Amino acid sequence: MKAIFFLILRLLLKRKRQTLVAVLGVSIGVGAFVAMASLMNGFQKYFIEQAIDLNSHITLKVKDEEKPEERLKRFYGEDNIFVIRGAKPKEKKDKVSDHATLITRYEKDKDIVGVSPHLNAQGIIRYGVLEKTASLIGIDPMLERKSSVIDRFIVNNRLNNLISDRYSIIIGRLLAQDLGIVETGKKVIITTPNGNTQLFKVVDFFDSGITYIDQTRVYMNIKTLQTMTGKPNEVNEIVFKIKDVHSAEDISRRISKETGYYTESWQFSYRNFLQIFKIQNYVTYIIVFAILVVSAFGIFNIIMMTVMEKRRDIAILKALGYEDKDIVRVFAYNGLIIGIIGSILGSALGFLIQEYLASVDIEVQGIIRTKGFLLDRNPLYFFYGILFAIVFSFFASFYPSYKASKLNPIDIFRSGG
Amino acid sequence: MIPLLELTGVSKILGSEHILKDITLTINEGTFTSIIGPSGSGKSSLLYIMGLLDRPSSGEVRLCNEKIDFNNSNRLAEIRNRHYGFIFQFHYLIPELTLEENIMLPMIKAGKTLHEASEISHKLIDKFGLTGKANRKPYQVSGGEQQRVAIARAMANNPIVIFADEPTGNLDSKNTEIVMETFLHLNQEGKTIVMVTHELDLAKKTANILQMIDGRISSR
Repeated sequence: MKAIFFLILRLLLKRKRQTLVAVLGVSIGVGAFVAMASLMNGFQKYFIEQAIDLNSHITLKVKDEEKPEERLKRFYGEDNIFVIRGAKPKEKKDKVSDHATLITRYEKDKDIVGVSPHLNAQGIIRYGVLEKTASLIGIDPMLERKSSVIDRFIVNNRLNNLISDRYSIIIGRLLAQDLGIVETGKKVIITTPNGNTQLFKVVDFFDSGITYIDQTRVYMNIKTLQTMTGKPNEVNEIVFKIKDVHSAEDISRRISKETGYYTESWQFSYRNFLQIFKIQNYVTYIIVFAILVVSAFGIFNIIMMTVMEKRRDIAILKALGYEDKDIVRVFAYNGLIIGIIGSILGSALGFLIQEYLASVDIEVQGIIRTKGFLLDRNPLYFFYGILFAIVFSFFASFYPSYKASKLNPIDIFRSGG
Repeated sequence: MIPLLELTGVSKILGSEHILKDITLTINEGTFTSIIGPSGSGKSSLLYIMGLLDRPSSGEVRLCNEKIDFNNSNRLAEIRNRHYGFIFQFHYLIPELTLEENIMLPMIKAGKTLHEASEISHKLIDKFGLTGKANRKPYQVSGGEQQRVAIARAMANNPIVIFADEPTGNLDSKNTEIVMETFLHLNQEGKTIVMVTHELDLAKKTANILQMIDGRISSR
């Protein structure tokens, strides 16, 4: 084996420039992989964690009624197109009638950590002359705490105020900004679709970091919203917090089967986002894959060129008693060493990019709002980056190495090599 | 005389061409044999088969009474490494390696440590009149010196036989003489040498001459 390394080192040192280019190619591939994976996954993980913590793992509700067009299609055939104009909107029947029994029942479930009732409604919130539409959520603060981590997002930790003062609300940070509210204690007027109007005091702000939530959401005591919407003791949603967030789909199906209600896991509720993330990941990995393939071609090219140039040397090595496997090793290890050095340097590059991104102090305003980039600095990305680079390098160098081992020395000696 | 290398009924066919025809010969230990003949007579082909670099189409080769299995490539490589030494018309030194490192190559393959190989390499360098040039690259020495390094490399594992294929074909008369003197000296030390040449004058300096014509040994 030392004979092999004796030769490899000299081969590598002979083609310094090409070796350096190949090493750089691999390094950029690995560095890009580490940086992009941590950036993409950092954003996605943050979004999912916030969304899961904020909303619920499983939501139980009454299934939306089938649209009349769909009903007609079912009857006359899917190929027909129906348009219904001027139909009077009906009140949505979304009451979860046996909510108290369901809450009691699922509070004891081994897979479930917390259960909480919600009453959701649309409304208009007015501050001075400014009006905004809002998504009103009536909650039981004590139960809500068990079924979500709502406290984490409440700026001044005054969730209990919803219990002590029935006419207090917590509003999204961005909604408050839109209305021009910068401090708590301000009075706002909320109007529900049935025409009821009520004066509320803003006791706290709610800041999840997810733009569309912070722009619309208003929390209030469920009893107050029930009174305002004329739905006493009504609930149109029960939310569940479960022990293992990844089993939400299974538990959701079980609850639906047991209760007959429609249930939605967080994966289903966020399916559009998850789909986008999936596409985003594909794009990321395709780019990184392309970089690694290009660097693999670089290695392939170098080894192939070396083999072509080294035909005489391969012939004499064989005459001196070097076996086919030795020749394969000389060239394959050559590629492998390029891969290993490239992946080590690439990991360092990836780490430096991570450090740089972590130090960038910018306001990110989009689906989510953060200061600086969100990074998932999982060591596994380094491991995968190194693994991919080494595997690519090995395969890139294997074919030329194999070709080298199959060179017949006699052909070289006869031709005067 | 102890037989070292025995060929029995060796033929080599390439496509429709009969390169070697039913060759039977014995190379005895300690002899210096030259193979002469016109171009295309099959002398190099015979050397490559004796040197286990090529396989015969038919016939048998024995080395020290061991029947050579041409399907066992590892054993062939081992014999070439430990028991054979090769010298070709071109020196085939690896340009990236120093003269010392080139001589070390067969020894490292044979399992010697770098230190051992370096020590032997230095001794060989002195023996072949290259003292002080161990760290030079092949292109930094003359053609004759390059060929002497190739001879030193062939001698590295103290082989039982040296095969030389037109070893002076690329050298001027002065270096030809030096190389030939080296071979004669090695033969006097007991080394078996088989040399292919087209120069009759050189062949005459060797004890045995095999004349080849059209794939056959025409005279001995």
